[in-house]
Amino acid sequence: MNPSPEVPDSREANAIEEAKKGSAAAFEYLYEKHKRRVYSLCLRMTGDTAEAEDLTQEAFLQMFRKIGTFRGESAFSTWLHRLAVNLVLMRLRKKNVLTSSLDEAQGQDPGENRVREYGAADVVLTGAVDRVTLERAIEALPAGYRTIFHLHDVEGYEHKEIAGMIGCSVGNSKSQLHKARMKLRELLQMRPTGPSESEAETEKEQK
Amino acid sequence: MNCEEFEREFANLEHLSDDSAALEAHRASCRSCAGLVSDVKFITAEARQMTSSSEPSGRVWRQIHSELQKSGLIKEPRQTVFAPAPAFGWFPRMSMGLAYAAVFVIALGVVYIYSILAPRVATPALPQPPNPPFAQVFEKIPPQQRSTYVNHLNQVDASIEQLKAFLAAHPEDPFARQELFTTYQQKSRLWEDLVRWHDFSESTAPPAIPEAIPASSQP
Repeated sequence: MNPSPEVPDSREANAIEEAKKGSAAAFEYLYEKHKRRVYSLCLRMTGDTAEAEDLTQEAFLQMFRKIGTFRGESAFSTWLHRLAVNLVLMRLRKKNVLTSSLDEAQGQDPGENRVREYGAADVVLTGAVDRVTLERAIEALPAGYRTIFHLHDVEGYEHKEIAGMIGCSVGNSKSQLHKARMKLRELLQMRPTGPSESEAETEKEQK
Repeated sequence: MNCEEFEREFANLEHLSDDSAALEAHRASCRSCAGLVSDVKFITAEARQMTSSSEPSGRVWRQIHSELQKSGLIKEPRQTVFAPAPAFGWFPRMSMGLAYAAVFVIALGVVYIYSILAPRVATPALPQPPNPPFAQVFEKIPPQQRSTYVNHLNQVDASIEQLKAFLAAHPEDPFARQELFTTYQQKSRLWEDLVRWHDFSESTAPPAIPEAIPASSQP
């Protein structure tokens, strides 16, 4: 995972030590500090709010149970993040979503076999996609693509790490990421860009 | 390099910045592949900046807290605020606490030394309790009121006896001495009530009560 600029936080270090002793306030502090990031990760990887809340709860419970073993070799947020990612992947594996998306989806996804028309001028996305549209497009990705895309392009994990976490080869991870990006590009190009219905009606009235 | 080869090699990059000269050369001459790279770079740049705007509902923390309590991981009562803001926030206050402790220990020492060195003063004798003629009045009041007054009198007398016994063992105890004086006052008031109730005040004068107890010697 790409190292993110971690500012040494004495409050967090203090809270971790207090949590090891069983301080309820320290548990709450750690939860409040990291809940957004963990929940967002779970939500983006599962695409389901109820499941994301369930996984967030499980991730924090596991973290609090294991906090005694945290020795500070890595940043606390990295440790918690990895724990949450593993939980989400386990959940996806249980539902057979990940495996089917990664290994068996070839041919099932109509977009998969779509051959790019080499040489044709594509719609250029730059500057024309807002954040909400992008998030919706990511949500619309098949679960396996979404997982790889999220881990690599959002969270910054390396292909080697992703391969280890998911249990696939590095080549497979790269290939799936490329397909995810292409699918995402396609979804964004296909989005309605013309005037909305109300705008169209206004134009009609003016004519 | 054709477009197919370009895409295969592009897909195999670890990072988008790992562009090779061959890829760059093809991109420069192919608008389609240049557009693809541009779009992917745009998508990944936007994805990296996606903020964690949403947060879980309050139910999640309540359930975590409940689970932590059930499993015994929480080992202390819940505090309202976790305030370790200044690391070792108690440290600056420790010197103040030590100062208070030092003053207290010194004061105790002074009191102890004074108690050893101070000359012993003879403890004054205990005052005598009021002893009005309750029995005479009891004979003249109805049995119902009598039993009430007798009970009160017995309780007060029992307290006086207990306090006298305690003071015999601890003659310098100022609190017991004061308590004994208060009990004497109760006995006196009981007598006054009894007299007033029967309007005997004119014929039966209340007994003399010690005005005050001489101050006992302080250690």
